[in-house]
Amino acid sequence: MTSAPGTVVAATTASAVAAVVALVVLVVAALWPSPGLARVGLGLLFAVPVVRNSVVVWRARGLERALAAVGIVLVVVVAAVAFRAVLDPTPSALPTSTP
Amino acid sequence: MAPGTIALLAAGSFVMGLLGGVLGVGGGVFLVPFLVFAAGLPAKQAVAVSLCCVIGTSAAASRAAASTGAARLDLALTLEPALVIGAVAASSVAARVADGAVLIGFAVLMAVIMGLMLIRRRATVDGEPPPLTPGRRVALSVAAGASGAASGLFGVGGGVLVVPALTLIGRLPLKTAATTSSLALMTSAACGGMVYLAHGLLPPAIVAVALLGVLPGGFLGSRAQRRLPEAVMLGLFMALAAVVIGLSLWRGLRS
Repeated sequence: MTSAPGTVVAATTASAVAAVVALVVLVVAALWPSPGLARVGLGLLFAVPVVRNSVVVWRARGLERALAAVGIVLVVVVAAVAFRAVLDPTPSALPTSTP
Repeated sequence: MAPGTIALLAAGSFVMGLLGGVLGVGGGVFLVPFLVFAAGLPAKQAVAVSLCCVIGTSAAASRAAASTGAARLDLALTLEPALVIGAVAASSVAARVADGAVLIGFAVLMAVIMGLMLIRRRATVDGEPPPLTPGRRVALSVAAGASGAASGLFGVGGGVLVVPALTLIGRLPLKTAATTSSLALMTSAACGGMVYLAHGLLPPAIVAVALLGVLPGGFLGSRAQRRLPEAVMLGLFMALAAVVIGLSLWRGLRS
């Protein structure tokens, strides 16, 4: 089982674009401090592998598609737990301390 | 953040990305010590920031690798669950231990990487790799779990451990192993980073500045790597690793 070159290029291009978008949002959030925007930026950064695997699910077939779907599920489960803790209003999960 | 702090972080991250790219070990290996010893970040926050940088560098490196046709996406996806489980378990533990313990563990990891760098040249395989048997796939998944754990604990990409596993167990050529590792590490870094985020150990502003430095540094370093003699690279890595081990042990044992 070897991936079609077109699938690999499409998937990695999508993930690179997602990473750039995440970086732009994080930089904007750093310049004009906003916890909400910072969370969006981090969420976009953590979604980079989801974007890549979604393209694989869309374009590939068989075992490769199934493995990509498993990867998406893993990231979504971890994200659900992590962001639930972040959005909990009691403790602030985004430290603002600087070195 | 003060402008001076931003400049120091961005410049330092650029240099660490450059070093990681030149030496072929990824930016995290040097970014974590820089963030701790030069920027004054607590060790666990440095690990968390480094994991976020791994996502960015992995995305950029895997896009570049895709053009060469050497990347094995199918194999990367096979290793993904083991890498994620290792990273999540290890980062959940690391988020609860003292910073000193993380630094001592980092020193041990650097010593292991030094050993792997020495044997890496011998692990190169020529010609077409043999098909992966079920036994080899299981062995690779175990190695991937260990690499994910190292990534979650210490913020390194894990490629320093995945690449030797892919060449020694998977019998893949070094180039294919390195590009496949770039594809696989993105997911475990994201999951590890989210665990640190859940524990309140991820400063987004520092992630932004570090990413701005590491991404171009890693890109330029990878290009420069092709022009440097391997003996020079090895010598440089050993010298830097020895300094990092010394500093990590000193700080880890004092705290």
